[in-house]
Amino acid sequence: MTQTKVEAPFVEGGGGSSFKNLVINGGQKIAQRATAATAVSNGSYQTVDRWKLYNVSDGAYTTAQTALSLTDQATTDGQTHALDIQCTTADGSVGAGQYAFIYHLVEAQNCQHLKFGTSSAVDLTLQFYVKSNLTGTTCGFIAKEDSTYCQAPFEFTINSANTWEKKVVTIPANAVIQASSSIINNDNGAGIGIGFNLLLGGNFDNGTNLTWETGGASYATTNVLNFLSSTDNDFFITGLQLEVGNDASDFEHLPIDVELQRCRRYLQRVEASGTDYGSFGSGANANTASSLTQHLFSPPMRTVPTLHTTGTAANYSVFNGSTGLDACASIPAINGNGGTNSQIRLEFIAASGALTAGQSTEMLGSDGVAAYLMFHAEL
Amino acid sequence: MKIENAKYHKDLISGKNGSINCVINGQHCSVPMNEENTEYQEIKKQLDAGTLTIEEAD
Repeated sequence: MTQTKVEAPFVEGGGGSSFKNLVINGGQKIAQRATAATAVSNGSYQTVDRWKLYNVSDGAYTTAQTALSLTDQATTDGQTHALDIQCTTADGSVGAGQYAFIYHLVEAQNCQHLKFGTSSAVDLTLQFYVKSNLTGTTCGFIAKEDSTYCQAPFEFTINSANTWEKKVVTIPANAVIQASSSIINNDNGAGIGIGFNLLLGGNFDNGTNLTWETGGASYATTNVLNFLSSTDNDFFITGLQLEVGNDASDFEHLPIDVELQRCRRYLQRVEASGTDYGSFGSGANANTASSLTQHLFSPPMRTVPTLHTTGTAANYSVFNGSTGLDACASIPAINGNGGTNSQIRLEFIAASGALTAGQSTEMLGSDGVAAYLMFHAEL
Repeated sequence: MKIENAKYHKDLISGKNGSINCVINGQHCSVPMNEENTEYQEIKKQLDAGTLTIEEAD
């Protein structure tokens, strides 16, 4: 049998054909926190993974993960989900310093091939699908977070109401992004961000379309729609792909396990069953009230994470053979400062005297409760 | 970032403060006292600005 060696084709762009997309969860498939409409708190992550939500305005909005119909999937290159934004309180009079936007942050060490801060800084092309009841020209922006802060607004036009439309924009490198002050440090901090304005005041719409500028005033041109002008307004987005170069290649559909694993660098949610006592792990009683257990992260997280809980102590329980089952008296907490991005020590806290020091214990979600432990290491 | 009800939580082994229990944007959190942690960075910023106080551990 004769074998012929086949060379892999050379592919220009973000490190080859795999993982060319700088956006994680661009298809909005992963929503570990929640899928249903959730009111937005400024600077928070609340539904679809990797989307940070800002709102400093008199308006309000919710986000949700919505499943696309087969018809919509056919018109969005096979996207199955979208980020669904609904205005819930209108702000028809926007103050100069007000803003609301959704924001996707890319980790700095995933941006090194952009070569920002050098004369070889690359052009970037962003594609996405958008749908809204509003029509007209509006703006999103790319921001470089590290060292000197820069933004490049990009205009796009929603031509038809309530219709999925594909948009492609290319942001060319310029002297601003080539300047040595625009370098992105090779670390686990924020590198660049991709934002979509929902409402923007006059302090921030001083940019020029597709042009990198320094400072904090260029999040848009003056062509920016107010999606929070009426509670009738909505804004849907999916299929985001940001890649190196001047062309939009086919959207990179990753397997669900790969997409989830990428998201888990920034958020890991462990759920109890909700119908019976689900286990969060086993450990030992440090004294008559506290049990300690180790929690391992797979994959390792971006940084040592913050623990989020339901906020209700009775949602959590501890069990051992001699003292039986005890509902927690306080919500679980991180114990000690010896945690890393791959492990952390947790404390489940029962009433004083409820436990026997030194015995082994299992940490549980209480019966019939959708208890969870959520570890957050987002940018 | 709105941080409320902040309180130190002691390491059961060392006896030192090891984390901070608080409510961030309405979400109950336990924040490790680690300089790389985004929430701890914000807590320190608000502490330095005098806009946040943290209750001592039990």
